[in-house]
Amino acid sequence: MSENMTSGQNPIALHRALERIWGTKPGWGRLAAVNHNVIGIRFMLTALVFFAIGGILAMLIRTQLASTESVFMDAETYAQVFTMHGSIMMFLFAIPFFEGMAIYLLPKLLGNRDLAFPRLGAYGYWCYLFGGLILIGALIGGVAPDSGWFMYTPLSSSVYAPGINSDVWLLGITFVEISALSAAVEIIVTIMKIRAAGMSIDRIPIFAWYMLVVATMMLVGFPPLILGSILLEVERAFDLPFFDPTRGGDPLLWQHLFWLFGHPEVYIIFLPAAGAISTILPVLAGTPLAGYRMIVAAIVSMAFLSFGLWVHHMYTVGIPHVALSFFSAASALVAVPTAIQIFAWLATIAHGRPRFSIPMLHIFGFFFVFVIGGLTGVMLAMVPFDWQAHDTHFVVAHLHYVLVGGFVFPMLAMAYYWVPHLSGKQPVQHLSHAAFWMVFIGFNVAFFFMHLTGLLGMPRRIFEYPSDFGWETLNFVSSMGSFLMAMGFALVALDFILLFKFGRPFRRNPWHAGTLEWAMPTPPPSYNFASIARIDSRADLLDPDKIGPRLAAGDGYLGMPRHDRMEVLGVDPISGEPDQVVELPRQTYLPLWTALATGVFFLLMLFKLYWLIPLALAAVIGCFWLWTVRDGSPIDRDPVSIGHGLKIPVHIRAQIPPSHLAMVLTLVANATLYISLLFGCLFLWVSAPNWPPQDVSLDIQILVLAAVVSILACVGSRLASRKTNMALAGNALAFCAHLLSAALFLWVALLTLPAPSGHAAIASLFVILIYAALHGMIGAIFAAHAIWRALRGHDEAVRSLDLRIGRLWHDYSAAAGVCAVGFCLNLQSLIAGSTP
Amino acid sequence: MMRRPVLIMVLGFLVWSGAFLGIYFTQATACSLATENQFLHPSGWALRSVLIGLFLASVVMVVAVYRLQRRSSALSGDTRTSDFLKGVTTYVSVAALFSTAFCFIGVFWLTLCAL
Repeated sequence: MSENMTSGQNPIALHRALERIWGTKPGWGRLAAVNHNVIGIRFMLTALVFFAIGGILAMLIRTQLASTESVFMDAETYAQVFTMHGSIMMFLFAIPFFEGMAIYLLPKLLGNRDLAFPRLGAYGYWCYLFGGLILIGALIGGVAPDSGWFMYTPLSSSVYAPGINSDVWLLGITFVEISALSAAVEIIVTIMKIRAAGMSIDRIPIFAWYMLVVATMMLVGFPPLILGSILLEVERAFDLPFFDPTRGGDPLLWQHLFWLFGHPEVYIIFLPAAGAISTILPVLAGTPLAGYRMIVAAIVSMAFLSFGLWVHHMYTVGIPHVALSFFSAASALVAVPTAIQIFAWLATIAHGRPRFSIPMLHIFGFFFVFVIGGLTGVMLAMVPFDWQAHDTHFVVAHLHYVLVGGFVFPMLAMAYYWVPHLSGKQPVQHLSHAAFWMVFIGFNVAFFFMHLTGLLGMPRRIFEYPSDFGWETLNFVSSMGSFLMAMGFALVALDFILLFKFGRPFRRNPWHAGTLEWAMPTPPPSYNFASIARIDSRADLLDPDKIGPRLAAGDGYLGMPRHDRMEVLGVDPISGEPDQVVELPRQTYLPLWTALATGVFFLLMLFKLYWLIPLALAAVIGCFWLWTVRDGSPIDRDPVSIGHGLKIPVHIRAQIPPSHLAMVLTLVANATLYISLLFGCLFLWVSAPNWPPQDVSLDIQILVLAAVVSILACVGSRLASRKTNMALAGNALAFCAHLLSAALFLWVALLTLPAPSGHAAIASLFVILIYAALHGMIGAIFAAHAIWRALRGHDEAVRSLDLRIGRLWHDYSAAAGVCAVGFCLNLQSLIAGSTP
Repeated sequence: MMRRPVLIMVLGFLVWSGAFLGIYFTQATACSLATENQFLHPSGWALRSVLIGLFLASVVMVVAVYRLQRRSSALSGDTRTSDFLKGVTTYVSVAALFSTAFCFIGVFWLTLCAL
């Protein structure tokens, strides 16, 4: 901190006032929690419960495979067990755990009080919990998904999986992914906008760079999977044949959509862990991180490259050599940025005087395991080797080396490093060493030998194997190793229980770190900092021991509670200079109610009670509308003081408030889904058998009219935002135009197209038109909200945030409508051109 | 000043992404249509020429982007922040150039449509 600021009030009174405003209420009030400390811890604890369930399932798998022709489980049960093991570990443990970690840590590392959208974080948590419960409920009920965590078609299609098992996966995972997307938006906006004063983009802590990249990858990586899940569910529920080759579909479309998500997912899981290592390692080595800039460049490059190698999971499906070379080259290339990070960490250790504490032990475990996983990854990136090892236990061993090495060992390092922050106690460490060695040895025994089992030809996902294949000894050793590893994890759990119960209290910053999360009391108060710092050097090279007491004394920005408002500082994303005070919403049950309504929607889909779905949708929309209604008062205030003689506007009047950026990001995710849909349809035209269809008749006049009308909606919204006296008329025009365009798109989709179940081409056109109609309907809701505001007398000249957000949607839906019409006409002409 | 420097930083890889989609889509579409269209036959020169053209155009575009970044006002100035952004942008652009050259070089000699 370079400046001296004084709030002029009693620090004790300041802390009490802040706790009253920011604290979560006891009893039922806990369900209304929106505070990032509470939500982050809930995410992590829930993820650990799912990790334990996934671990038990892994033990069942290893028990089954320990001997030949085992009768422990039958094929059906085994299929459910390995599917749920993979799904839980990937979707319910790894991603949510680091989301929770980011939610808990980021505001602290960035020197602020909370995330940009506390209610969104709470909503994401409830969606995650309810989605996870649907999956676990299905497991208990014996109807768990059984087609593998990748849900390949046609195995997961209704012909081969007629029960609700696959529906549970498709709907449950999509429900959970809402939380991933909401976390992605929240993390990006928080890193860009909600930071300490003076924290320019070159000063943000390295962990924030990692999370910025990861969240952007999630924003672009998850929509293809969501689209794939929607298309497969639509096929299963309404017989639209996207993946049925007898009617112009193609099972490979699912693989493309799944792995477009699935491969970046590996890096989405690895990078947060790598970010934690880049934060912890310099502290334990006692020297700054080597190659900060190079690491930032490496993770940005890695993010892009990771999207260019999805087909390396599909080398054996029949792809021309030249196309294989693109993916093989990208697969090999992605090792380079990974290696840059590893060399930077080694250089950091070499420059410093490392302390061989428990977190460091786990980091060494990470190095050993992850490097082996990376090397076998390069082997699998080479097409000839992959053809030999594809779908064998070699791949199982590789992915566990990458994921356990790249996530679980760093997670344990993080836990030992940051649990003192969370609990206010330091570990006693009697069990920590033994636990580490049991996990490390157990893991390597279990999975190193699995490479050999795979090279001997043992395929994945088989529930039994013959005794004369020579696989039994290796499998038995692997199973013993996995049991040892499980005991190691049990010991880790016991170690943490003992830490919480008997840990040694400490005053502040036990690791002598240079990051801001240690510049606060531990366990942290709900508001993190009594006042916000101004920093003048990189945010992981600070002195929390000096900064902490000054912030606690209110000697920073916003060190004066104002009208019981939850205020955080908004900054310019590049310079880090304060440009707005962001007023956060108070504790509320709305996220819970909204998630419950969303859950009801998914359950109705699952049980095929389609006639009730409009009611559930109305409930979801109603709940979200209440979020906006309760936002602040309609009266604007002048710029407010943040202390130290500075006055800045509240976010509602700022040029780029967090919610505006959030809408842009939401539309980026939405556009990714739309582009995936359009490319998916083109893929069917290029690759699927049984094309072209017999008849594709489109009502061109009505489609062109729908596109023109959707542009009118866009014109109406612009009119409303440019002239204050036109707010009502402009938004009324937008409302009517949206409704009309939606009706026209629906008219063509439902009444003039041939039956979409007849051919994938018709199904594709149908889904694209429904997408355009849906956007028109949502646009009408935005316009209706703007009309309601105008009628209530909001001053639209200065308080235009809601209108600007609405305008983004209107513009996007107009563009989507025009693209839909253009695509439909083009596809029709392509089909006509190829009709014999 | 808002998001431009970050967008400019990744411009090289955005070109790489576009090239990836463009080259892969062109190759896949041409191979699919080759059975009906002699011009696109994989043993002929036309498809390979198009792919090589796309490859060279991608490399030229990444180089052009790099030159544009060097002149960009969003990264100009001698502050610590712009120095940082310039440094990272240079590393990322060099990575994008190498990735573009390395990923698609196979269009010169590998079989285009054979499985």
